[in-house]
Amino acid sequence: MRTKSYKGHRLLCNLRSQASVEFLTTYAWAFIVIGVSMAALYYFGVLDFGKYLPQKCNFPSQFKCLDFSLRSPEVRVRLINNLGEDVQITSVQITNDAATPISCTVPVTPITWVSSAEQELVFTSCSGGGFITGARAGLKISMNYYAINTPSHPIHLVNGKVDGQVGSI
Amino acid sequence: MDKSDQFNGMERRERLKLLHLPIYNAVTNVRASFKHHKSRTRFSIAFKSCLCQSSLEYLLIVALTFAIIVPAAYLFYNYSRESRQEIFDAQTVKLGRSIIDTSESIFYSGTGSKTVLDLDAPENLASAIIIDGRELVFNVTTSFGVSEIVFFSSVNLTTKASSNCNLNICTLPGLAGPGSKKIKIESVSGNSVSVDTI
Repeated sequence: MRTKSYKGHRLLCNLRSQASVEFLTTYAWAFIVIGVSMAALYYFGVLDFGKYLPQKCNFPSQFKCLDFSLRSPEVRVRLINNLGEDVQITSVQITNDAATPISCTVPVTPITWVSSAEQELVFTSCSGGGFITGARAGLKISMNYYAINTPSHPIHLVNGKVDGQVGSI
Repeated sequence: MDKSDQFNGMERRERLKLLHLPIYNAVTNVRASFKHHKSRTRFSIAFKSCLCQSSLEYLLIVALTFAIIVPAAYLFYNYSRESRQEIFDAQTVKLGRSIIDTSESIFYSGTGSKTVLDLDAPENLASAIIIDGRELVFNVTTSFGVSEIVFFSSVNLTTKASSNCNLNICTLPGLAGPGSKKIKIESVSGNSVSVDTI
């Protein structure tokens, strides 16, 4: 009797194991399908939420950003002088947060910029820093300037940021 | 009546049953027990499947919810960060323009004229200085680095605390940091206006 009961117990165990295996197999397939779907969505850029963000150009209101374009290998930024003073731009830099930051040929300085006038800063031959067509780029632009009418010509620093999708020329 | 007489009147099956009654009972019990186990196992599997299905459905709903909430939160966070920057910029410009406009007004009102402004400084205002008596410079920290917001005055600006002035630069330590500031603007002589926090 003990032998038969033992056999029954083994049969019961086998049934449970089979059920578990079947369950795992069924859901493993489900998980594989979900995983493959997610990978495909990621590959085609659907899960890249950054591209749904607006393209922005942020500068302090004293150098308001009017327009910009990111077309590999060129960055253009159009700013307006809202300082109420004529200034001289002594240097311009561009960089980003990448391990190897972007490198561009910066505009020739000094630039004399009269009050309320627009100025287009053109950075050419940009490379590195993930600045490639189709990618999203976040670039930091720094300018040093001084007011022409201030006797000691103290240098001031202004930083801005350009965020957008890189296009091609 | 002995056993052989008793068997004579029975059919063979009945006789065997009587002879092996203990074994027959045992087998019947095992069968019944097995049937019971079988049905219990089936029920258990069905019940577990049901639970698993509901767990998976629950997980899918949670995953779908997260798939909507996470990107939405990311987008809103970015929007709010940019708005925050614009608000700080607007606050700084308002503070600077108020000081400059009031200083010019007080200067042209004549020596001894004074007023007190109650203004709010943004939290990203790190320091404030006066350069050459004509530039009011605010150092502000932004998400893309430290910038200088400069305001130009047509009248000579200074500060009463001479210890805060070094050569052509006067610092206004009371203006740094966030919160409400009381700024006293006074025409101190025929050619300058002092700016101090009280």
